[in-house]
Amino acid sequence: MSFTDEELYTRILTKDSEALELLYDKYERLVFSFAYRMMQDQQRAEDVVQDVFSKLWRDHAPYEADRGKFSSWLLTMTRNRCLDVIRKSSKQQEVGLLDKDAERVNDTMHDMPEQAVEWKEKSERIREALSHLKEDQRKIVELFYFHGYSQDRISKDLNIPLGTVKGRIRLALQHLRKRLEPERGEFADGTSDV
Amino acid sequence: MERVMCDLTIDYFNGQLTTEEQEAFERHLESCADCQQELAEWQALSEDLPYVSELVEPPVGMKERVLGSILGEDSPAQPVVSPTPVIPMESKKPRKRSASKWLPLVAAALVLSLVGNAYLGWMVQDQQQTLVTQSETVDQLVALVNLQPLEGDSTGTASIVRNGDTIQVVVQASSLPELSNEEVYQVWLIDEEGPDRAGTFTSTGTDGAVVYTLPAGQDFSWDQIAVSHEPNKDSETPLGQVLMASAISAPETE
Ligand SMILES: [Zn+2]
Repeated sequence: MSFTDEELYTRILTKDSEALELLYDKYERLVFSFAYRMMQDQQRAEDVVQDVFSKLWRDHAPYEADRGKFSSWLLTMTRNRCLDVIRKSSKQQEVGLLDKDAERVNDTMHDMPEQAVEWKEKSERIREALSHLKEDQRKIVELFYFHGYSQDRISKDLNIPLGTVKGRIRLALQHLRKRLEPERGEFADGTSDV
Repeated sequence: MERVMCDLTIDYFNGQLTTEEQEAFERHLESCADCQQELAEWQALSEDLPYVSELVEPPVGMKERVLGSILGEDSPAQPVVSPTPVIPMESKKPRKRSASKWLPLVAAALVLSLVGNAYLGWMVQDQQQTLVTQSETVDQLVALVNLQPLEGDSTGTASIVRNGDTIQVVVQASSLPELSNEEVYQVWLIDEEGPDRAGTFTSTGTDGAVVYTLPAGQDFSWDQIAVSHEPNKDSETPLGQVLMASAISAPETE
């Protein structure tokens, strides 16, 4: 019943539509949630989901197992697509609160798949870690990662010298990483309470 | 020159380079170990960030639309009915998805799942649950159309389901505009004599659905369906904006 992502991916390359559906079911919510976070708009997020899976099916987007987890690869592809759309629409999103037009997944969701449970747990940890960053560090992570701004734009938006942008992003991300390290240990020795 | 290239790693990672810059950077990347390493670093440092996103529920029908569109292009087939938009208004923007391409697949999926009423039940959610569970016998999907957006970004589907002598019209929609006060969405069935009311609904988030049951014994004789945004549930003719519309008709019965 359960196939690895790599198996499904390989079957998709042979145009096995059942494999596409299985993979879609597994990742629909995750890809959509991330795309929604990036696009802040349901319709545009759905378009991205469509583009990502379409790319997988039609263009045989190349995934190599030895270069990392499938989920990371899929999310990178999702992010790149989002940034592409945002850039092309030239209407860059302003920094602000996410509009709340999508229904949040609540805890009692009847068919929450394994991935969603895992996501939720990971999500809580990373948001907790994020909350320990200083305000300007959180902001630079937001602009760099979720808005995909250029160094130049970040420098202007935050009113900091261009030459310091890279260093600040790195510092913020490293802090975040450090905060997450102990948690990762927990993850690794299998004590996750899913 | 090289240093300048090396400064572009972040903008490359964020897809901010022009096509020419990107190509130049990629050529540079092949031979610059520093940049390769830096890119890998950005990748690794940001790997967990997608999980910051709050889990949200995808819009109703997204799976059918996405997979239908992807798979539909590989297997051309006959649409169930013509999904041509009927109300002559300038379409705001061309939708990149061609409805006819995915309809057959969705229809097939619907017929399959209607056997267990699973799709219907899922589609119309709790408020119509009673309607759905009442129909114990096997439903037959006789038509399905993609509702074309006319005003705003709303999208949706309408289907005609036959259950013995009973005919139901099922409408589900996403990206609906916000309602205020007593406003509702109204479904209309339209023929030469004008529009007939065919159910009102409200939204959950920006999604909504309604099942409308035709009077017993009545055949489906309309040729268009539309959804409008009404000031209240009592409009006898469309007063508000028509959000979506499509041609729809039930095939002749034997
Ligand atoms: Zn370099």
